[in-house]
Amino acid sequence: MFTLLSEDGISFQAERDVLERSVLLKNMLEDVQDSSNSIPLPNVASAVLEKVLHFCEHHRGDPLPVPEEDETRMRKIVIEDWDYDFISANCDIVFEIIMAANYLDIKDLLDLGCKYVASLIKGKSTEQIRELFHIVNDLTPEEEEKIKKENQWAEAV
Amino acid sequence: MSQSPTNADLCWKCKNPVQKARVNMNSSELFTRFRSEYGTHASSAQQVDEVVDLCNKDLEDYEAEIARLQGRILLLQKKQKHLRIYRTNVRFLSSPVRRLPDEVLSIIFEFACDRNLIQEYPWSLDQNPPPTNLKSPAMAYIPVLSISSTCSRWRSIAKSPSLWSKLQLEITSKAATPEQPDPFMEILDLFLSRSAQRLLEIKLSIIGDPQGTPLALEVLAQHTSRWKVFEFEATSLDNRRMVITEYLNTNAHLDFPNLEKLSIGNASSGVLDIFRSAPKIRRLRNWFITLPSQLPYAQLTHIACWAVSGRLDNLLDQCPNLLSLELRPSRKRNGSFHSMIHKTSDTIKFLTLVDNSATTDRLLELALSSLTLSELKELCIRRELSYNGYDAGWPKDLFTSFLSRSSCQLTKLVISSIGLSDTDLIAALQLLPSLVILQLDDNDASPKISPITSNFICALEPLGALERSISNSTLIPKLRYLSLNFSGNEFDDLGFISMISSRWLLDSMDTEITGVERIRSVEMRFQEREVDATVYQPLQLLDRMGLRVTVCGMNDTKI
Repeated sequence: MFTLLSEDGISFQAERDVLERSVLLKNMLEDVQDSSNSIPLPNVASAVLEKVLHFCEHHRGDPLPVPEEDETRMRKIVIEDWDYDFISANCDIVFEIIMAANYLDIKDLLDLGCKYVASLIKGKSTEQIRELFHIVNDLTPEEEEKIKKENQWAEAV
Repeated sequence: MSQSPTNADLCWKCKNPVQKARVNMNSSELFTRFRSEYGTHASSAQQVDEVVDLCNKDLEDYEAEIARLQGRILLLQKKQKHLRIYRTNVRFLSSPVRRLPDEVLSIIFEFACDRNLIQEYPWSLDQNPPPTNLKSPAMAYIPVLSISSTCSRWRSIAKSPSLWSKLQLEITSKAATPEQPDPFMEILDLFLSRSAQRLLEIKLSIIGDPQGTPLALEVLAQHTSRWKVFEFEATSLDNRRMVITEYLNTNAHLDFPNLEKLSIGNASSGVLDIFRSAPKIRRLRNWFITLPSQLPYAQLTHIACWAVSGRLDNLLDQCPNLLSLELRPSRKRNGSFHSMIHKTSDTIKFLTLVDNSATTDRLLELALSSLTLSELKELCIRRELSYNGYDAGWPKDLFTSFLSRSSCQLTKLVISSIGLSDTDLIAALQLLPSLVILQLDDNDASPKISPITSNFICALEPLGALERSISNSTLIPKLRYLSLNFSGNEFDDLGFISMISSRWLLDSMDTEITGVERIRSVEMRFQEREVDATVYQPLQLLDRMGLRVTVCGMNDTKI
């Protein structure tokens, strides 16, 4: 068992094959002979690390994602039921999970978070997207005019 | 001499003097006068008028003060509103979505823009409805436009050409009128220019009777060197003939140096010849494969087809590098696959057989009896629900001889809507010790037999030490992913939970001795039952321990 230390000082224990879902941790563990020293993760809060480890635990033993031969298939938004339940149950911290997955280099979790956010974007208008993610419209009047022209057709329908 | 105001005459908050009222409202005195000043003792009209005048002046003062305060309130409310907006904007500086790095946002946008649906507008030139019924404004179907209009950062990231390279076009059959500005063509031009030199993934649907070559096709044809995926759908044979034969065929100079995937419906041999200059083509989906043609068959690795004109074995001869083969019976009685001689392939890893049981020349039986696939890893057998043919039974002996002949190490088996008994399924699984993934769906099975029974669930139980000494090994010991879709009412919930628990709670010694691997993922879907969360609580606990469990049923019940 290895110990991870979150940015807020909480310790988590996990087995090697769970941690090796993360490329970053896998590389770190190669250099670690003694499991008694904890591994500090200064960029991951305990609430997020707990979820990340939950995901890795569930996917322990799954083949690690490799670049797909068919790029088209890779970019389809297909989320397995368990994964969907996991990510939607944690939607309030989905961006933190994505950032942790990006930092720890856990490709399947990064893809899952990105697919979930993409699924929220799909089918929404610009205003709805801004409202959903609390995004401020910082476009200049010139940009607005250009966009208006580009979108003229779509907004007329 | 002016007197300084007492505390009672000051505003409680701003401490400025409050104007003193002219009328001293002594209600008890007035009450006494009501009771005494009448008749000869009545108050004079002049005295009353004087007090009323003073009251009016006080009221006017109050009105003025109220108006002033209301103005002040409006001003404060406006400031409050602006402050709230400002606070929201300030918060946005540290919002989670802003903290995502550009490369992560790019991944999100790639997923979101996997298809941009552009439908010709207006859609009123014929009686045919569009393939996609738009239920929201068109913008909602073109995610790259929505994204690039959101904010300056998103707009900058959305300039990536790859986001503009995936197009789904649904066009009516009107003739091209290039002299008139066409908003549909403008948006198509925008996509083609923004996608720069990126390879294009195009799905084109043409509905209705054609009145000439659609302008969109002419424009797309100028970019055939960028086609990576070309999928074409049309509602009638005339459409296909018009689009392909009348246009592409008369432009023999077209080449497709980057085309990898072609899905074209019912294309004839001559039409497929157009794609002879497609050195990268690997995937073909077509209703009828006509042999011979000049399509570079030898380089195809994935084929999905409904029928082959000629013998099925000819197709395998022409395509020696196939990895994946999907065969479907034709709807026409005599248009399907014909009998074939035995054929061996050591390249095919994925085989899908669609069974409709509509004809006596049953594709499933034909393929199982004729093919020997030594490298087969994944086998999917499913029944198309749109056909109501005779109830053909499970070809048990053919399946057994196919596996025996092939000696393949099958890792995934999918059986969907095929009626087979639990004993036949167990017999089949006994031949598949290498199986890792098993998916069963008994929905609309024909004949109406489900293999998902207590007997089947019980057969999946790992054997104990005593049982192992008198029996064979555990059924499909390598099973790690189990997915069941059950459409019946009676189900052995407790037996199922027990079996899954037994397969999950194996310790490493069990695994080493018995060769049985721990199950990793379970999906159980009930079509006609609700899920009793109390009964399935043990699986919830296993889920928390690391097993991936999904159990769902009618009325959105699930654990």
